[in-house]
This record gives sequence, C-alpha cells and structure tokens, in this order.
Amino acid sequence: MKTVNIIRRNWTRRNLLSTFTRSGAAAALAPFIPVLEAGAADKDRQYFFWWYTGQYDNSVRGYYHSLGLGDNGTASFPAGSPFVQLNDWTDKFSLIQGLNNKAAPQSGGGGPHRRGAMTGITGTNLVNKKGGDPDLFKGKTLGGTGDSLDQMIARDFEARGIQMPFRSLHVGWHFNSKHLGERSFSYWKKQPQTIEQNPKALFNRLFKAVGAGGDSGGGISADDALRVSILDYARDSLKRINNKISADDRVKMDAHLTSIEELEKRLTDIQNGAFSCGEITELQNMGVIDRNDVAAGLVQAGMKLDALTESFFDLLAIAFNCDLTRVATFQFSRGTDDHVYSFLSEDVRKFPGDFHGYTHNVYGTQSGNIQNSPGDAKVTDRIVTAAVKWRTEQFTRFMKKLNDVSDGDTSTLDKSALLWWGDVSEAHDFDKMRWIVAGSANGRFKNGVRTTHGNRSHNILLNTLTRAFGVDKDIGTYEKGAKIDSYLL
Amino acid sequence: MKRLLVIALFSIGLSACVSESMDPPPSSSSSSSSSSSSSSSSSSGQAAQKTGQELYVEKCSRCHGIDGLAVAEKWPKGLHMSNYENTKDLARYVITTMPYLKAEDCALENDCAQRVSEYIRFQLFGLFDPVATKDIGRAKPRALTREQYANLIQDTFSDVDIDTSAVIDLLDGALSTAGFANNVDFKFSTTQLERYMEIAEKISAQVGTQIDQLMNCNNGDACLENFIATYAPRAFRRDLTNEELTELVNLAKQGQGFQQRIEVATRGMLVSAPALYEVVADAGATERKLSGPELASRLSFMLWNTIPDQALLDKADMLVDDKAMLRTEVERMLNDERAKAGLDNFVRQWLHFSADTAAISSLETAAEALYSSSRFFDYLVRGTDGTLSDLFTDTTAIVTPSVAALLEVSIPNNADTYDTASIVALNGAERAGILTRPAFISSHSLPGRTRPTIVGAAIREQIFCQEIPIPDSVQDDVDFMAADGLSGRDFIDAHNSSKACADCHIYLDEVGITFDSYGPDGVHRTTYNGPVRLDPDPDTGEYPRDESGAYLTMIVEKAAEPAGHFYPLDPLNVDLAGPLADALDLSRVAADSSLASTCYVENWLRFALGRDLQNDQISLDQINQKFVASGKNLKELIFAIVESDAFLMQGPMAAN
Repeated sequence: MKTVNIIRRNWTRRNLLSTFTRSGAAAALAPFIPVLEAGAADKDRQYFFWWYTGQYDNSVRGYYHSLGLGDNGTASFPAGSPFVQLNDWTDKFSLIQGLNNKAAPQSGGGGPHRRGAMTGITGTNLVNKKGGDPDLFKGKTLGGTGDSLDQMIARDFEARGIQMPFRSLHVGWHFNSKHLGERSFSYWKKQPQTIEQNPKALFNRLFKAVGAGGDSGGGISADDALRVSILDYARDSLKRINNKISADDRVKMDAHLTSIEELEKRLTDIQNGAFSCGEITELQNMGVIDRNDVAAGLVQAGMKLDALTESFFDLLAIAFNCDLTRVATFQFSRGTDDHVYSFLSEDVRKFPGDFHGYTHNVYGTQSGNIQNSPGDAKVTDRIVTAAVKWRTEQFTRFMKKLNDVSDGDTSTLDKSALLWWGDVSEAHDFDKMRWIVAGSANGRFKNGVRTTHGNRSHNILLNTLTRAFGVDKDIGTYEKGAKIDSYLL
Repeated sequence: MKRLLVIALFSIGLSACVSESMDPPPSSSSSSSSSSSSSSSSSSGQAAQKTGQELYVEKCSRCHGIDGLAVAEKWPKGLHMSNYENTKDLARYVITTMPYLKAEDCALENDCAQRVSEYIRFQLFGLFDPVATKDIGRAKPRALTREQYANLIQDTFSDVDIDTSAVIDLLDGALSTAGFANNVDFKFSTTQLERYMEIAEKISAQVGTQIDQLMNCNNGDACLENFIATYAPRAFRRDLTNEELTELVNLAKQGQGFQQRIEVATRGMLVSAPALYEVVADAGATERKLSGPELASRLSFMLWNTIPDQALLDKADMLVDDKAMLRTEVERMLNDERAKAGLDNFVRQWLHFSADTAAISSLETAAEALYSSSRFFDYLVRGTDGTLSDLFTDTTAIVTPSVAALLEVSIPNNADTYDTASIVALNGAERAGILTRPAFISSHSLPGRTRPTIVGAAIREQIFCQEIPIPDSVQDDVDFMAADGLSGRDFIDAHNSSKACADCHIYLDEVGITFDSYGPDGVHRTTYNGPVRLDPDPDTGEYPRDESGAYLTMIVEKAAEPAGHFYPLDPLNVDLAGPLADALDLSRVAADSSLASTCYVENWLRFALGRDLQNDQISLDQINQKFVASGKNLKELIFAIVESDAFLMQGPMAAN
C-alpha cells in the first residue's frame, strides 16, 4: 500500500494544495483556493476532535504510575511511559487528571467499559430499557440520553451560520448492535451519529462524491442535478406519509426530511463552488485502504488495523486542513478494546489475544484455551505497553499533520482541540480518570499544563470545552455551570 | 379523597367497618383475585386467615403508622407507593424485606404479603391496580431492516438477477425495539441517506442493463410508464395513486435516454418513503381495522421477512374481514419457501443466535450450527405438528456433516432430508431440544470458554421472560475478573463468594451451570481442561494472588458439574423453584412450565407487532388460551396471533 504522507513540512493552505496537484491541474484548484483563502481569513475558525480508545491508560494491571500522575505541573510523562512521545509536544497539550465520570456508575449494568464509554462524552446518565440481548445487562442499557460534546459544538457552529460540507465526521469501529446506545458514543437528541468504518468510503464521500465538480464551470453537474431531483421526489413522498401519522411519529420523519435537505444543500453548494477540494488526482491515488478489500478474517485478526487507523487519521487531517468539516470523532473501539494488535509484536502473534484480555493478563493460546498463569504478566505487560505506545504514535502523528499546516503564525492544530479519552481508569472504574487535550482551540484552551482535580465530575472539563468553543451551555447532569476556569483563555 | 376518608375512619375507631364496607380491590391478575377472595372469607383466628388489615396492624403499623404515614420518630419516611405499579410489585417487596429484619414473619404466612399489600394499596392509599381497558397497541412507522430492504429489491425485480450485497455492506443492522430488530427506533441521518442513495444507484444500474428481461418494450413514454406501473406497486406494497405515478414518470423523464430514465425511476422508487417504511396509518381516537395492504405487509414481513407477493396483495382487502380466508392464506404462506426466512428471523433473534462469538472456530461450521437449529425449529413448525414441548425436548436434529460432528452423531446413508440437510436422532442422554444444541450454546460462549452467567441470563430472560434484578450499583469488576477465566463450578463459587455478587448471580449462574456438560462449541463433555485457583494458604485461608491482585490459577482436568438450581426470582411464583440436574433437566422444566409457554407467546407477539405489549394484554391472554388449547402447537400459535385484534387492528392514538 502506498504510504500516505502528504504533509511533511509547514504548509500554507495554498502550497498544501499544490502538492495535491503536481500534475498541473491548476484549473481544478480554481474553485478550491478562494474557499481556502476565505477560510484562512476566518481567524476565529476552530476544530474539535475526539479520539476514544478503550482502556487507554491500561486500566487493570497497575500501569497508572507510568502516566506520571502526581502534582500539578508541566504536561509531560516519565521516561518509560508508553505516552512519552507526547513529551515532544509538551507546549501543545494539557493533561487533566483525577476527574470522576459520575454519570457512569449510577446507571447500573452494562459493564464498566460500556458504561464508561457511553457516558464519557455526554456526561449524562444512561437509561435502562428492556430489550433482550445475549450479553448480560446489555439489552437493558439504551444509553444516549444526552448530547455529546462533539454534537453540541457542531450544532452550535451551524446555529451560528457556519455551514460546512460535513457538519461532523465520525469514523471508527462499533458494535453493529441492535441497541441504539451502542452504535456510537456521539449523540444528538438521543440519536447516535453514523460511524464510517471504511476509510475508502470516507474518502469517496469527502473527495469523490462531493468534490468531483471542480471543472463543472460552477454549475451543478447533470448527475448531481438528478440526485437533487430524486431527493426532491423522496421528500414529497415523505410528506405524504406525514399526513397519516401522529405528531410523535413525525419526529422520525422530520429527521429524514432534515437529512434530505442537508444532502441537497451539500450537493448544490459544492457544485456551485461554495465548497470543493476539486478533482485532486493525487488524493485519489493516495492509497486509502478499502476495508472491503481486506478479508474479514484479517480485519478480525487485526492484520490491517494499523493501515485502517492511519488512513482514517490521514483523511481526518485532510478534512480539517481542507476545512471540509470542523468537528470529527474517531471511535477507535467499541467500549472494550477487543482489537488484536497482531501487527505490533511477536508477542501478540505468539500469544494471540485481544487488548482487553491482555489488560487482565489473559490471552488465548493457539488451541483457544485461556491462560492467565503467573508467568504471563511480563508478556502481557510488554504487549499492553506496545499497544498504548502505538496509540500514542497515532495521536501524535495526527497532531503533527494538523500542526504542519500553517495559517500565519498558527496552525490547524492551534485552532483545534483534540480530546483523547477512555472508558475506565486504573482501578477499572470511573474515578481518577485522565483526559488529554491537544491544541488550544484557537487560543481559547490552555496547553502545556497538568492539573489534578480530586473527586470532581469530568463534566467540568466537558463544560470547559464547550466554553472554549463559544457554546454557553453545560453538558450532562453533574456540576451544572462548573468549569475549570484556569484552562479558559 | 378516599385515602383521607380511610384515615378518618381509623381515627374514630371504625376500622373494622372499612374492610367490610369496601369492594375488594380490582385487579387484572388472577392470583390477586383469588387471594383477595380468600382473605375476605376468612373468619378463624389462624394467622393464615387474617385479613390484610389485621396483618398490617400486627406487622407493619408499629413503624409505618396505622395510617401508613409513618411514626415519625421510628420511621419518618412513610410508605412510598410510587415505587410500585401494582399490588404484585408491592407484595414482591414485602415478602423479601418486611417486616424489617424479620421478613420471615410474613413470608411464612400463606398469602400474607399479597393480602397486606392489597390492604395498603387499596384501603390505605386508594390505589387501584391498572386494568387493561384497551386491547390494541399502536403500530408506529418503521424503516425496513436491511435484510427486508434487500429482499424488497430482490422481490420487486424478481425476474432478473440483482446483486444486493451493497445493501448489506452499506447499511447497519436493524435497531431493536421490544426485544427484536425491527428499526422502529431508526431515524435517518444524512450519512445513512447517502448510503441509501448509493445503493439505489447501484441497483438501478443493474435494472437498467436488464430492462429487456423486465419489459416487453424498451423505448418510449408508454413503456416507461408501464415499467413504473408494474414495479413501483411491488416496492410500495400497494397500488400507486395517480399522483404518485405522475410524479415518478416526471422524475424519470429527467434522465437522458430510455435506460437512464428507467434507472432514475428505480432510484426514485428505492429511496421513496413507501418503499423505505412500513406505515400503519394512525387510527385517531379509537382503534380501527388495518387496511388490506397494511395487513398484507404485516403478514409478509412477519412470515417471510420480505414484501407481499401479488397473490397476497390481490386478496388482502378480503382477509381483513374473513378469518377463514386469512387462515387459508397464512397456511399458504407457511407452506411457501419464503417462510423459512421469517421463522429464521424469529428463532435466531429470540434465542440470540450468533455466529460472531467465534466459540466455534470455523465460521462456516458456526453458520451451519445456526442453520441446523433454525431448521429444527422450522421442522417443528412447518414440517410436523410440533409443540413447544418438542422444541425443548425433542432429539430430532437437522444436520450438515460438520454439525453432525459437533453433535457426535453419524448420518446414515439413507437418512431423510429436510431442506438441504439430513434428519438424525440425537443421543437422548446428552441432548434434548433446541437449548442443548451448538447454536444456542456457542452463541452464549467465547472462544475456549463457556459463560454460565450469560447462559443463565438468556434462559431467564428469553425462555422465562424473567426480569433480572440489576443492583443500584454494580460491583466493580475486579472481583468478577478474579473469577473470570475459571471454568464451571469454580467460576460460580468464585463469582458468588461475596454476598453482593451472589444476591443477583445465583439466579443466573446456577441456571447457566447446567450447561457445564457442553464445551463452548456445544460439544458434549464429561471432563475438560480448565483453569482453577491455586489452593488457599493453609494459615490464612486466602487464595494466592499475583502482584496485580489477580488470583493465581492453574489448568487441570476436571469433571463436568452440571448440577444447578432454579432459584425463584419471583417469590410469588415459585413453581419453577428447585434443583436442576443438568441442561436436559432444565429443558424438561421449560417444556412443562406455563411461564415458559406464556413467555414464548409473548416473544412471538412482540416479534410480530414490533412493540411491547402493555396495550395488548387482552389479545395476549386470548392467544395464550388458544395456544394452550391447541396443545401448545407451534403452528397454531401463528394462526392465533394473526387472527388476534392486536394483529388485525391499529390501536388508538392514546395507546403507546
């Protein structure tokens, strides 16, 4: 697979584009550059992103010390920590520690990973609902009673008239669950946001389906005109149904109508040159992995996990740098991290198992039996450390891609807040959790510090981030109105 | 007002008159009716004959006060009736916890909890148990599941080959409501709409290139209109209105050339609301009969998991009013091959079959295990006059060679076949009905590991419809993880070593352990290798742990220990209580249990209607009665459901 490495130095938006069009397709840039220049002039531009990784601080086996939890001070980690690569970015991130996810335990059921994940970014208690499911309690945990931070920010942007081709983008992996709450940790009005699981499909959405009109002369293409007509027809058919159903049920149809309008608007705006990345042939050749081309067994075995992850991060970096969206999420695992990091080390291939099992010092042998004998600890220590180190590499690589695109004296990273969070803390519970925020949200969120907050709801951090993005609203159900003022600039 | 009256009567010493002058509390449950009648007829001085009022005064009033408002210095909170929806709920609480620290005082007296609860609710607080006054729930519009949408495409254009893999690739599985995946809670997002648009483009391209096989013409407006008039009603499951026909034709004419016009028409059909949604129009203030097309869709999605065929649509209007004709039509539908998909859809969801657990290492074999159990179910419903008892206890199996290997049974050369697999008889000493087959067991296991808790939960919830108590705060998983990795009885003993865990887990684990005779892949076993804890320290009695606190274990060969116990979850319904020798014993209990029978009916009705059944209680009772009267014949249950008011009608707006 061709390595994606389009950003190697500090770029302006204009010369970033030139790398995409080395072959001289200057015409394709015509509708794109003005947008970028206009975007660059938008000095208040902000981007928000979160990355969820299950058990990212190695929740069970006592790795907590390696994080450098302690007194407040500089954002840095001790030598030997799997997070140590973040020390290269000390002035670009902050570490917020000691917060409790108070929304998680009260819900009952669901297991700590699921409860932590489903409440972490909404700060809102789950609801229980009978549903029936093979997994204990799972069918009763509906979740999703609150709006997630990413959606609060994205919808507020929209309310302020900031129209993007994509209000928000959501990538990653999830249960293909029958239960709403397990589809995605990103919520708006009790509906999970759809997660794109295939980098190639995301690529197509970003640059092929919506960006193919760079040479259309500014008018809508015939294909897209047909699409708009079909959407018009679909809307009319929906309205006829609306006459037959109750007001309660119309909410469902209204969501459908809204999605039709959004898609029509995107098609029309893009083709009219309001947004476009043009026909960027370099992008089309960049080697984005197609999940459908990877045998299911290999995906399950984690053989392409690294390539899939890198592709997603590359695409999200481009989406931010091209200003195609200002809010994105990467749900790296579905609560419990059951990825098999078989690309990482000989240890994993020798002692196959998933990440969650390793954190409990459990792995599967070749014969399928589960082992957790005393001598295994060193093996699982090595594997867990390597996996977390790899995750840190991915995060810092994403930071670099955003940092490499400059706008005057700032970068996309400076304009962003990248939140890295997980489900449980070192004791496999919801106390003393930590959150990493990289980027200053365009000078609104303080970087470079590590602070510890005892027995406070993590909602105070979420509330701080809403304020950093100009959203004057609280999130979740705890500590209403409370925030960490020292982080707000 | 009534409560104040009662309190006033107490205060002037007329309490004896109260119980005599008031009507017995209305209740929808037969158990409460019978107990109230026994209490009102009591006259002797024996404890079992005391009235609810006498019991309350004797056992409750010291703390809660004679009026239920509490004795402030002793128990200032008073009684909180808002926690209990009905008398049975309150009685369940009383029997397990009251009198405080002396629960046995009431538990040991016949009907004490029921009678005192009736007294508290009705006479002290004037609360009546809810009685079903409306018997029709309301169907809500729902998007088709992805499987139904794929089937819709296939069956709409059944004259040509259509590759619908894009549907499965691009759409998520359906969301679950009332325990079954039906998309009642689904709402479109822009991303999902894009996917439907992409699917429609892919499908329409296939339709466009095969138009010669679909139509006898290939050009002109008349041909285009004819195409739409032929295929849109299939996708919409009803006739087109003139307005719809005109709109689709006008849309199609935006295409360039005939083939593109066909493609545009197809794309329009596939993303239009009548194709995407199953809608039963609202009834308004009172219930109404379904229209013919509404009934046809409901029948076909339930029985075939796809759209109605023309034969069904043609007679749909008559089926609404003619139950004999309806029965004949359902018989036809069950005899149709498409019924396999409908029955599969039910049984796989009901018993939570899944090939994704990887408990069977080969995906192909796992899929065949699911096929085998689904066909067994199909065989009982459609192939024979099977009963619910057969479902739990019959040893007939429909097997492929790989499933036969899991079941350790050989396939005779002259074995009869059902569908594409062989009919064999299993060893009755090792296997019973559907619960003891690899599909159920592997669906609730992990690679290399059985999961007694998960199996127990599935049995409780799916077979007996029992609500599993969820504690206010779940214990941290550390202790659970200490048990995790152990096997069989060791797992349970470790798991339940703390009372906090045992309070809930004995209800689950002691049921799930009965499957210890099977490995995670469903292979029968008498011994197996599994981890156990190292022996405890002789001085401290503590089990040794590693530096992280995890218990140390070793792998040993141990005998399967399938003996368990069915602890009654509902103290008022103890018919299921008792020891269980193994999963065969459990299967026999299920076969004989009225609770399992009712639960099976409930599951089918929720599956058929896509809703919970609060507003369908009368229909549910009637269906239950018919099912029992039929000897619990599996096919007769389907007839009883489709002939019920709940199935044939749309409930009023007020029914949610």
